[in-house]
Amino acid sequence: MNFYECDLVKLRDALNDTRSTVTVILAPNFEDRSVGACSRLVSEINSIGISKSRIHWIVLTLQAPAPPEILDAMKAVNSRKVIEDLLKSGFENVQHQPVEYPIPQSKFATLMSRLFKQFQGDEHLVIDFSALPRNLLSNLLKQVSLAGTPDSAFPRVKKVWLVYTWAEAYPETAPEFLGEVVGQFTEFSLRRLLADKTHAEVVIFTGGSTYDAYSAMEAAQESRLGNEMNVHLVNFINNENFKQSHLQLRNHYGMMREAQRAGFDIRYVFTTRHALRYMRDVGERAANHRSKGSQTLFVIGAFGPKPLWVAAHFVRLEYLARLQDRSHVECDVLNSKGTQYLSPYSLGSAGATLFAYEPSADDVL
Amino acid sequence: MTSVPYPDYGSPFWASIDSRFISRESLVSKVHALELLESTSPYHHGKEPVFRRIWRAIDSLQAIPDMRKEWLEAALLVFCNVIYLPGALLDDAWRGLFVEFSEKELDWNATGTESGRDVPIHFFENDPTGLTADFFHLNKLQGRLDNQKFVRIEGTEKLADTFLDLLNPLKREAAARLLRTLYSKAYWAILVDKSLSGHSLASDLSRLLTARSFASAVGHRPPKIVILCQVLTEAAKREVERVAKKALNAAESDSAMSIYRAVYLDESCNISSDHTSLICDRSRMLPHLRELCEWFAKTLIEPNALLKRMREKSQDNLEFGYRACGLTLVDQSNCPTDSLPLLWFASDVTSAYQYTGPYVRVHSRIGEQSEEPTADKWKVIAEAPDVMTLTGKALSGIAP
Repeated sequence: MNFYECDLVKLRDALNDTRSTVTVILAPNFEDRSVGACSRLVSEINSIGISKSRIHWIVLTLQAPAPPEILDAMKAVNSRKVIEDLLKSGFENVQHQPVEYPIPQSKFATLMSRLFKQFQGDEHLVIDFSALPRNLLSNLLKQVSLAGTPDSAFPRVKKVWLVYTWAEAYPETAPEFLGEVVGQFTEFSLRRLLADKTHAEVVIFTGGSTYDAYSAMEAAQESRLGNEMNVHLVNFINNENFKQSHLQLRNHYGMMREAQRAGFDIRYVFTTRHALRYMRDVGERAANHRSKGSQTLFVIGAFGPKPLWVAAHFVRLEYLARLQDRSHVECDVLNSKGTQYLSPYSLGSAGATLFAYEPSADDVL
Repeated sequence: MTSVPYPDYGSPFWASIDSRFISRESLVSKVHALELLESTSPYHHGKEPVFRRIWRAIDSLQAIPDMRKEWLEAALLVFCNVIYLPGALLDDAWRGLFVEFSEKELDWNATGTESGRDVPIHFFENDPTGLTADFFHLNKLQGRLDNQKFVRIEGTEKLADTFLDLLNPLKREAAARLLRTLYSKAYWAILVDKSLSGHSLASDLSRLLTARSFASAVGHRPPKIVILCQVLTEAAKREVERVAKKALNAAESDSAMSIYRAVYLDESCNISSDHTSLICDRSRMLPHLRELCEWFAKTLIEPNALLKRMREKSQDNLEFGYRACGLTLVDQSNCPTDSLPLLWFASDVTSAYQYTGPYVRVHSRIGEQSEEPTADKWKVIAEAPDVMTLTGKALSGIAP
């Protein structure tokens, strides 16, 4: 497996070089930025002159089984805009797929396999995860890794490109996060994950809600591991949006004070690349402890922004790939269970982050 | 009989503060965050808690005749809006900058691989203060003092001295040796802690672009200049780009230079600007804030002889900080002059009015200083064509 952050120019070069078809998955929702990747990709494709018939667009619209409300209206406008723009730009292979959400994981896997199968022989899969729920992205990545095995109907791809469009700003009314923080892969709470361990490295990114980060920190504080647990409270100071980061830092002061009292490490990262490196370095430390015989837990609370969650997802994979004995749970990525939106969540559309993932047969997603 | 308690808050100003003003401007969370950040990394100036220092500054302003209530409100707003950068954040900024640079340009993307690697970079410092040692330690880079690998030219003044030594036959060979090592590096990095007005960084960049052009002129591969800056403002970025544009043609610009910054302060961080995001009620508070800053400069800054040179260089009375940057930035070691003087100014005993800002500054330059030795040396270099020829000869011994 190979996972790294890169510039959009790498994606453009790859599309320019490929002779096969390319599939792009978009999932516009009610956020302005959810249409950002589409126009960016169209402009990149136009600049290299690749035949438009070789690009297949799958546009997902997630719809709750409830009467439409104002956010649905905004989502409908964005879905229409994306599809209209693609058609106007001369793309023929544009498929719109409404998806009832929440959707059982197996049903989503089957749906995506069916959609994706039509384009067998693709080398490149591009996923805009700006507005795609984490559980669906995780499911998609799992299908990619299982592709070609009897467990999956997904065709193999050489490379997955994960595109994220940043918001310009966030409304003052932030969403409320509900429920307990749990491991994305185990569905265990942090307390349970820590229960049978003799050493733990717990990375908590404060970039999302105070509730999520505080819950994770509180659970870590209750652990009896003492000096055998390192908690890293990591503040994301976005080097493209200091205003937002500073506001978040301010809003987290109570949690930071607790962390300081508890002797936790308060750290700062400035880019997704820096965050990825930080997580990998902590993973390295966890692996060293494990090699000395400790029952080690490596857990990442990457509550936000979303690219950090994607990076954490792959750091977990890299970590697990190193372990011979996987008889007990040793690594997970924490997630909040539910969200209650009180506003369109983000405002405007800014720059993009791009990750590249080259799957290999032994990836354990 | 019980006396009225809390005399510190007995003045009309404290009694007049409207809770809606405090709420609208988020002053509660702003002060709490400041206290927290200072507790992780205390400001150098004593142990007094931040809000006590704010109170003291307000108290001294209240004692000055003609002080208006609205101005005191504006002062409180400025103090609560300080952007405080603790030491841990600045250390992590060096780490983050090196991760970005090393992965993007050197393709070092594996974890824990720095030690033992050959580092193809020469590090300069903008206003040398020992940043290189911190940078090496924090990024686990080995061999900083190996003078065969890293020559002791830490700033543009030393570089100018080395070029001028080429003109002296007795020092020529030693200077040539240093330059050969320097020009053998693929990258010249400029470490910058803060570039706020951009003035000093732009001067250093201009000099390094001149030195870089010597390599191109003699057919040697010129190093790429990389700016690694902990804190950069929008104004400084513009200044740096202006210098680069003047020296480089559009085609070579990307290959000749790049800028990495950790904290980027755009125009919204200028508290005196119409676009500031630090104040919520701009239409009411900005006019008061500007009046206060102008009054403060006239009453306290202008009579202060120690700040004369700074005022001249700034070409104003420092109303909104050096070169009108209008910042409220403070880091654990100092408050820059680019921040409002309300924050860092402390009057001396001879002053008509006594004032001590909450983040008193330790000045690096005080009093008169008419000479600019580094600028003068670079002027000599620019006017001595022999320097380029001799640099060419010095580089002839190394592969282009």
